[in-house]
Amino acid sequence: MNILAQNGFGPKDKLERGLSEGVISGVILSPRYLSPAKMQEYIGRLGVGVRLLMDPEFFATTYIRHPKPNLGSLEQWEYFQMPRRAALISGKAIPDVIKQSVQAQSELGLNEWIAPNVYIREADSIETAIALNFISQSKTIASTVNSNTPIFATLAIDRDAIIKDNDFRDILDSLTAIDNPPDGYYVLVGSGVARDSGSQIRSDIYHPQVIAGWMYINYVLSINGARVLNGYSHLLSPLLGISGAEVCASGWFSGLRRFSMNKYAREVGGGRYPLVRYVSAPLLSHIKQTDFDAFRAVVPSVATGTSRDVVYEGEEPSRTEESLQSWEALNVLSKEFCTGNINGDLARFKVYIDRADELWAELQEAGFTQDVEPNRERLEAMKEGIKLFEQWAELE
Amino acid sequence: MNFPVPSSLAMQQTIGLPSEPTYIRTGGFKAVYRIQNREGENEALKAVYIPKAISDEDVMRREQLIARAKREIKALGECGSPNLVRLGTIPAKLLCISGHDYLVYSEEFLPGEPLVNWIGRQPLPTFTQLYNLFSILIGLIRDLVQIGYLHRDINPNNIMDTDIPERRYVMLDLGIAYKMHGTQLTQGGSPPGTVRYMAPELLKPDYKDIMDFRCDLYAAGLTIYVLASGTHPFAPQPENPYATVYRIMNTIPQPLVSRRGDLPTPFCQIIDRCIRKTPALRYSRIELVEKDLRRVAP
Repeated sequence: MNILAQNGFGPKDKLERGLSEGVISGVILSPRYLSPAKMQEYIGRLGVGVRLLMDPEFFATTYIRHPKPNLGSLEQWEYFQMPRRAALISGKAIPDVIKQSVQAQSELGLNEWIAPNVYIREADSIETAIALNFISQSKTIASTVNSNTPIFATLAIDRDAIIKDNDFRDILDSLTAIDNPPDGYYVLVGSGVARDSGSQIRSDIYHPQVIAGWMYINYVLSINGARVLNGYSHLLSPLLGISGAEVCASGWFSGLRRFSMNKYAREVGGGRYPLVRYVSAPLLSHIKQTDFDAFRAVVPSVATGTSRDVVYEGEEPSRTEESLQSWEALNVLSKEFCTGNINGDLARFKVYIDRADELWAELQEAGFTQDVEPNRERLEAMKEGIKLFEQWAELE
Repeated sequence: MNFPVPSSLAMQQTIGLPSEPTYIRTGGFKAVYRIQNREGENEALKAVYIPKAISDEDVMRREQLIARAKREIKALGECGSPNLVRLGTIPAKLLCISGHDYLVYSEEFLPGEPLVNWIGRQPLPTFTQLYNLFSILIGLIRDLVQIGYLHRDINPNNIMDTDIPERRYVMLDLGIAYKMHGTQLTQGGSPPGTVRYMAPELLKPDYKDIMDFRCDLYAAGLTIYVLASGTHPFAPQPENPYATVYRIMNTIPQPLVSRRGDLPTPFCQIIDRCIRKTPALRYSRIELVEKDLRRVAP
């Protein structure tokens, strides 16, 4: 499985260095942060031969009429217009939306396209029917622009829709029965109401059913021949890779590590500049740099163990180094656990989770009590999620 | 299913056959006889019972049976698969025989035995036999999908192991073939078909909305599993059908390779995948099964 960068605000030299140092295999570009002209310039700058995709973020059109929209450059893109709801329900508007969005990506010279879609908030809803309609037309419409360019249909789904598990799994039954399926899927799983994104508290995504559901999406689609790209997957990437993902993406801010529709509306109050963090693969956690320093003095095995650990010694590493370390750690986990033998990989990952839990226990015994319980709860959610996934995927 | 089975003599007299047909068996609402056509070749004569319409419910049932039989005959005519039984010389017609109505028509008579006879027989079928049979079933499902049909009753009772080399395995019955885009003819309640080979989704109340070719894929896979292992994973012995239904919905069969260690593991994995409970976990397209099958060809 490959790790891609989820592009966002303030990349500076993160992408260039990530690509040149081989810790990312490409970039998922965001039109929210890049106007059409800037996107064109950016693509030229990142170079030929780099895997670049653009998430059209069409689902954010529902925020156009929001009292406090936070859509960035999205409204500068021609395709980013909200059709009448009736035209979406009847399906009349869908071919044009797909075509315009794909056309924009074609004009940028991208070699792979992501088709637009709406966001599924509830499994048993009209949005689901609209989303399935978008997906079922993606390949046909994209082929009118260029039949040789791979098209990835967006499947953007809220964690609440996944939690309603029977209806959610019915969506997958329908999705796999599509006559002219896309080459792959770009999967986003959104958290419900966003919480404090910087904290290590158990988030909406770290819920057993949500983890199981996201893994199940990857598994079902990949065994049926679809290529699956996951956005904003961060530390769940290894589990998604084990389940069949071709790509997982993560970025440098919490808003690029976990997807939430809330980002398209302006937040009340200002956020604080995030603390520098470190991805500890052995702890399966994205811990504060200061914690990392303290932890490894007592339990050295919390370090991920790559050559980049050196930059965390002494001074605070740069934001670029922080991003590179994060991607590198995801690569370490991916290489270790995503071998294609799903039963074996899951068994080994479960052992790894147990080991992470033991490390947290060791830290707790050493007096580091803060954040231990939420992290152990998150590990428990991962274990439960795996168990549930195995049940849904009939892997027992 | 109880219904008045016409005598052979009554069949001969009503249809005007040169000789008395030989009664073979009864299944569902259908009686089957062997006859000789004018060229002296054997054919299977089928008489589908059509109950008298007394109540409104009977009217509905009668209409349903007529439509079902016509659909079978239409499917037979449309599907060019050599592995589907062919129509005979007697075209479908509604006849009154001994005071009861029947839809009568004929099919070719196939020598051989139904595959149900293989179950439990030693030695168990070889990999080549199972592979060839499964490939034929997959090809048949593909041919039916192309003309818009689901079979919905693939099981070892309905497949003949014939003596014809180029048509070794032939599917006999399309009695409940379901025209996917046509009228839903099955009345409310449980769907028609052989419960033991029915895909889990067909046992749900909303089965008409969710079924597709993957229910046939399931039945084909289960047929192979049963023939290969010698036992039915959900109905190892005769029992209350509700217990079978419970197992179909909830019991995950042992991997086929654990029952038949001599079969290639990738082949067993294909069969295991076809009999998964959730349609999304089976193959979503026939080409994908065919591709995997080619990889494990003997």
